[in-house]
Amino acid sequence: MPPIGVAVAAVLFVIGVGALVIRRDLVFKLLALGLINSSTILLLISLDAQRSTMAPIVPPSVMTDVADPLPQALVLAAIVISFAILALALVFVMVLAERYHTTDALRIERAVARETKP
Amino acid sequence: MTLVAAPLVSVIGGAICLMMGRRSRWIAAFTWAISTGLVAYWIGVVARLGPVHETLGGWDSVGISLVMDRPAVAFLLIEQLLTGAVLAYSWRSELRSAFYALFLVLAGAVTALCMSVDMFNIYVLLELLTLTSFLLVAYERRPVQIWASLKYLLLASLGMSIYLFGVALVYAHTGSLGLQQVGDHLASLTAAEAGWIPVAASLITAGIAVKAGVFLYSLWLPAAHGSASAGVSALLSGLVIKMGVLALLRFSFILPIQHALTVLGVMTGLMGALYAIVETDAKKMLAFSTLSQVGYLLIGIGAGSEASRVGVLMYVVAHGMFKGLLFLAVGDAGQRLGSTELSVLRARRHEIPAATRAALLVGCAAIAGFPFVGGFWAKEWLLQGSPPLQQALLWLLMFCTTVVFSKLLPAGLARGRGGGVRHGGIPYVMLGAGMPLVFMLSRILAPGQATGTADATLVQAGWSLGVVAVGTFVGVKFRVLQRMRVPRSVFRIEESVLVMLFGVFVVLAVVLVTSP
Amino acid sequence: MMRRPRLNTILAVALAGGIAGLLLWSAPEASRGGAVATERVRELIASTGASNSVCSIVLGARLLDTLFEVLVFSVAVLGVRWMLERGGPDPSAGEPRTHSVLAPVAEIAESDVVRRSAYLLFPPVTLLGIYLAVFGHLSPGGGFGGGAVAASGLLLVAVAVGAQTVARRFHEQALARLEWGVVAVILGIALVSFLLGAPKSGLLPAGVPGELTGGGWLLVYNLLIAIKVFLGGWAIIHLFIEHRGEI
Repeated sequence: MPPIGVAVAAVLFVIGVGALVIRRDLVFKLLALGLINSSTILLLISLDAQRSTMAPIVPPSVMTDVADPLPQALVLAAIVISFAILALALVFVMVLAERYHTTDALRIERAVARETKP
Repeated sequence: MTLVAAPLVSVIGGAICLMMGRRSRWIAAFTWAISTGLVAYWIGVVARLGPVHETLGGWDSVGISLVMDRPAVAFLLIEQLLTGAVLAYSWRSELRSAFYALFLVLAGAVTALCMSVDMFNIYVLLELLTLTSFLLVAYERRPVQIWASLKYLLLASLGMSIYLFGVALVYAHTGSLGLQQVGDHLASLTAAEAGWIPVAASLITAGIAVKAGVFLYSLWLPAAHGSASAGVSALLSGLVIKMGVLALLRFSFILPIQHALTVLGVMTGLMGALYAIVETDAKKMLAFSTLSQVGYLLIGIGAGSEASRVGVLMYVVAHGMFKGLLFLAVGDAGQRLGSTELSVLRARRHEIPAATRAALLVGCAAIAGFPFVGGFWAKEWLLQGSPPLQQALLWLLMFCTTVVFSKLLPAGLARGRGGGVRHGGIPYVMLGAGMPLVFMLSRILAPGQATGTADATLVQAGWSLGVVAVGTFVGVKFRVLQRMRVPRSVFRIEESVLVMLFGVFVVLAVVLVTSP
Repeated sequence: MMRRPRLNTILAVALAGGIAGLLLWSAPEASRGGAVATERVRELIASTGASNSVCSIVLGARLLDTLFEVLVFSVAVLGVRWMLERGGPDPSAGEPRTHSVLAPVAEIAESDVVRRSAYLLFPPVTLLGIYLAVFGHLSPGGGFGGGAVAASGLLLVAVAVGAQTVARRFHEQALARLEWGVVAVILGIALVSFLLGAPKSGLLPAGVPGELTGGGWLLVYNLLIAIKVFLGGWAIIHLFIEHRGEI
């Protein structure tokens, strides 16, 4: 029986993917992507949660079972990368929205196709 | 001297470009020279002493490992060649310092990725590659480029999240992130404990496949490449895609994904060729063709033998050079004629500069596998190392490639000078002269092994000539093929997501079916 | 138009559910990495002298990951700057716009209460950011968190008095160059410490865990990263606000 965090991460992933596909609004899709990234991060840190949840920031003298620090370091990197990608994607959506006056993925796809067919 | 010096030098150069804001071209050229020197040094070390392993900073179980072995050597070689050629190609283009900075950061990330054998490090580097490619594709900020980049970003992020799921699973079961340690641990597991391996393998493979240009997952690729500028397309097609293939190669040593890779390779190869045949724009056609060449590489990795792996590495170098050559040449022709549509290129071929036409001819011949030119040697190794089924598939793909490039070939056949080229042909020379290099590469990669007797080589040359001839004939005569209708709706976001998720199960099914 | 999307959604959810199920099925009860965690933490703290073992990993064992992660952040800021700068994304589309067409330009609400409380909160928030960065090797925090907190403090003031007012105190070009200069310095220090084969705590020796001077070079890395994240975060915030219209 895996830790509860893993189950929550799995549920979040399914919700995120559903959200990615269900609406045509680009901003909504970006939020869904953020949710999917969050589920990945949650999975990473909750894999070891059943053994110990004590932060590995104790002086050696009082060392008992501490949580695994390596996934936490990985999560730091994953959070920064997720933020960077979302920021840039949001800017691109803004630029496209200004150009085509819509955030609907399908209408932008069609408008772009119309423009590139001479 | 540490392995990590080469990538760090490149990225520091990129940061300096943006810090100074001026003379970026020279900073870029200087940085490229230093990194080429470092790469040459390491290639010499490997040639004399064999593979080099290094764990950064001296940390053992938690640290990041780097390695300089034969795959690293091959990929670094093509990287330095392509980055140098694109630099020469863009020298007079008056690009902003941000372009050169992104270019150097891309080069640094690729260099680091060539040497990386750590699962999470591969993740960070692939994400950096995604971001920089994203920005380079959208460089001119035309809406079509921005839209293609956005789709690319969404799908690549989803893919990398799935990859990270797989990595988390592997770490939870093995306690380590280094590929070497993971491989050792996996080998020591009993069958009862190893039930999770197919799941992790399919998640990891599906995630990387997005970056590798595998058709099922990388439906963004043609839209992104086709609308980028020629130099960027050359880099993306010749280099960045290969990074995904390299990652799959490294994982194929420890995960049971060979047959899955073969299946993916066949699908990619055929579908890529199909879409390339019906495409009317030269740059998009080259992009689809890249997909189908990735099919070659994946079939070669899937064959799993020593010889086929050498063939894969040689083909990586050869394809990088010739695809780069073709992209640059098409870019030049497009600039001269104002359009990259194939019909325009063919109709007004007298206006294309003579050097560009020569480059087009050489590139087409090399990719099609014309005897004794570039790709021929790599295919020899690939064929030699593969079982009969894969050999037949490789010949089939070669035939399809010839049909595809028979459309571009006429653009190179014309008389007259047609005007000069702005960059003086230097990039053409750099890439085109790589033919003998590919042949010599086999000496480094597989010292002491011969490719078989001279008779076998001649037989293969004969077959190649035959296939090329038939393929060209079919392509020219059966123009009706080009009017086939293919589903285009798969390029939308929703469908691509569905295809990617489905692909996870495809890989899983193949792994389960083919494991003992 | 409603039936196709529903099929897509059902398929996507089914496939994602399948993946999630596989994940749950193959996840182990106890992570093997966790089994050796306590030993690793002991060794990490001893060799770097920083009592925050996560910081030791981020800036020590996996420094290369962190370096490229800083680059990812910087490239993202570069992209935002590029797309939103005054020339506008498509120079051929007409006159450059500094405000989005999607919303009317709002006037800055002149509220004394908001202004004073923002000025009141700004110093503690910035101090908190500096504290997180400087003490990153002794308690949870680190350069990334510290820089983000400091940038959000500046955002608070920008919301209160207008981003233009705040931006007038800085020189944008100089900030951009400084940001990449800091990146170059971080990368350069790392390169030098790799080349010289420095001890595990970087170029300075490890001190006593729990002390400020423990942790050797990690403090310097944390500070530099905090500066870089602050500059990058402020750039993103400022560009968004300037483009979209004042909040």
